[in-house]
Amino acid sequence: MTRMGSAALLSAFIVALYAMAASLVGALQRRERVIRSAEVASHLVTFLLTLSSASLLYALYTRDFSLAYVYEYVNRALSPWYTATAFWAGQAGSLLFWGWTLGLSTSVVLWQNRRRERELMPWVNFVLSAVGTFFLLVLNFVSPPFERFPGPVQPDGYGLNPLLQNIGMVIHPPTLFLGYVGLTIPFAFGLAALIAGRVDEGWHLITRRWTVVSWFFLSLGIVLGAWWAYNVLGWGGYWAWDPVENASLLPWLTATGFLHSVMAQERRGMMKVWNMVLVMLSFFLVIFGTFVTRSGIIQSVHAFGKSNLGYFFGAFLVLIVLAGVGLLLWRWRLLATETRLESFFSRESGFLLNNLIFSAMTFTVFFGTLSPVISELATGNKITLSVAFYNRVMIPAAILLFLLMAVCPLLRWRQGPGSLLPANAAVPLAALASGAGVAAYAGFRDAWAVLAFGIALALAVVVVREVARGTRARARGGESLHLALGRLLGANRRRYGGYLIHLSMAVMFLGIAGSAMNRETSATLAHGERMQAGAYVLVNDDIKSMPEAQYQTVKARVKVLIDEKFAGYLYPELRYYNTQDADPDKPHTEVATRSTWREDLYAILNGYNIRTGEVTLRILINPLVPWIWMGCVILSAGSLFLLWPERRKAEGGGA
Amino acid sequence: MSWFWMAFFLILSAVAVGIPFILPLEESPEPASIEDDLSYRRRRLESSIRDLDLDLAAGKLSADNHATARKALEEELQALGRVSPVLAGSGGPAA
Repeated sequence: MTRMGSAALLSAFIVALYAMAASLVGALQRRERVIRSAEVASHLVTFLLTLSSASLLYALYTRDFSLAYVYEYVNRALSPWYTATAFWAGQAGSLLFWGWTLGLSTSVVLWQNRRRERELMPWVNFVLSAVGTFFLLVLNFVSPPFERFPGPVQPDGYGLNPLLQNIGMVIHPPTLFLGYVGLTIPFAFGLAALIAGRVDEGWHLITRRWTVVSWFFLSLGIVLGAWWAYNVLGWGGYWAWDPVENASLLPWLTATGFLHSVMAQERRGMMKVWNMVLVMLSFFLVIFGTFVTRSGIIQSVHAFGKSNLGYFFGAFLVLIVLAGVGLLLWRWRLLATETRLESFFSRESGFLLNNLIFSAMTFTVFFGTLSPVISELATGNKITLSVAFYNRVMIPAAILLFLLMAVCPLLRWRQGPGSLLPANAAVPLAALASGAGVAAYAGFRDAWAVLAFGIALALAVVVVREVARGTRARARGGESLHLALGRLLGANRRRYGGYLIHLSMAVMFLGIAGSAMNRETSATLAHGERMQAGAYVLVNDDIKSMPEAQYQTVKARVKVLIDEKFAGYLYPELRYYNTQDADPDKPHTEVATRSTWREDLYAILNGYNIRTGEVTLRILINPLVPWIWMGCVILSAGSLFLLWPERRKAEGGGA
Repeated sequence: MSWFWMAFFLILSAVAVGIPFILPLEESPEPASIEDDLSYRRRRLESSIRDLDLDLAAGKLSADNHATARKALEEELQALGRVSPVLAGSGGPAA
């Protein structure tokens, strides 16, 4: 089976080369049969990659330790659930997963457009095949997943990193990869539009759904990564501006900017060059992130080991820049804007400002991520920028963005706000003041956090009022209220889905702003002893050690009292894994949390004495953290609402 | 790696990519509506009209301004060939 997988992978590389060459020839000579043949080749690549992926999964499940990858990432005790995770846990497997999802996306795009965009599609297939060929080159010759284990076959494997044995890590990597892969499609269409010289004809409309889908997966992947860090790494936070975290945020920032600025192009024919740059930049940053994660140039807890993959991804980055800049310069004249900005207070100005802020944020994160490399080149010393650096730029920028989210729905296309603005702005301004006042009353002393609460409430008021007014207007025409609401939302999915996503961002942002009120305390408690943490009293109830299939666990039972009333137990835990490299002095922390809508009570077992029953606890009270996860649920709902296919409108007079 | 599988996949691929050279081609596909410039302009105008309706509902436009602007856009739309059923149906708020 693995031999078949290996052969399928090499065959896929050869067929991808053919697909690339045939697309190029077909496009240049306008030969439909050659173009169709290239498309068949791309579908074949997907088929071969599917076989290859299935082979690797089979090897993982059958514990075929003759493969180095299987030996490194699974052992006999690993549960079937986490065995699937091993597919993307390592360098080679994750690249295969990436290549496979890229193949699937390519096939879907080619199928969707098999009768449309016939001038553009050979170029789209050319770009997608070129990207696929790059990944297959790496998979076959640099980081092969089917490499044999050197030496005699071992009876058991090394096992999956315990940190990855978590539900968050089952979902987080594939969602992130889907986001990355999805951004390849707009990139391919953008380049194809430039090559074919058809930049005016709505290439961005075709790829808009792809961009939204990949943006959704990227958002989900980032939040799930934060959730995993919060619940598994046991340091009490969820985001540390680590280079690998930043690597996933960078394409998200540019893709978010693109989703906004593309509206100015659709409605007003503006920002064409900028949109093209954003599409290319998003893909560039995806590859840059992979370069950072896999080259070993930057230290990170999340990075894969150092490897020579970095050279390949570095070369690929150079190629992307050269192709992108070259094509932009070649087609510069075609990208001239159709209209001028007519008012500084129009909606398109809002999008422009929004994009400027996203650009500033992208530059900050990019610079911060590369700071150790830049400083080493300049001074010989590696300087890693602290969290304070990011906070100094990103917090005010995010506040400005949220302010724009609240203001933009009040603005009109083309024209200034008009005489009705003061009346429309009065209620949101009152909401802003009330939200800020409530936050200050609740004890928030950080000015940014107070402002964040005010803006979030104003944003919510603006959105709810927009929906309410639209519904009332329809209801005046004779529809019942719920029918009016349903039809209003259904007919404007993009607008109201977008608003729901804005609301989700506000909810998440409030969750983040809550960190201004984080509190922490530590204590060593004898059996039965108690400690105070905010409104909670924690009692050391019990501690015990017991063996599990893959590890020895030491689990404390901590009784939680609120106003002297029993409110539940927390079970913070330390795990000593049986893997070959497990360090007995560095057990894995399993935090215990008690979540309410107001805050998380977060307990970490820092030390213990089984004989005396003594435990050392680190307790954090993290206000509003659950809002971040709740915001992610709302974001998913908003994205699904936005992406849900609209009912087909009847054409001609048949309606 | 198995040479048998390698040969099998490559022969299979060669046959598959050769099929488009043998089978008759489908009818020359119609240009996609989205690609059609007229359609593209029509969609933009329709979006603008929907925005106007929503602006009116949201109280951002007075009824007079809305009527004037909508009329101008509708005329522009009619000049493109036909009024889309999108606007006659249940699109924006019933103003």
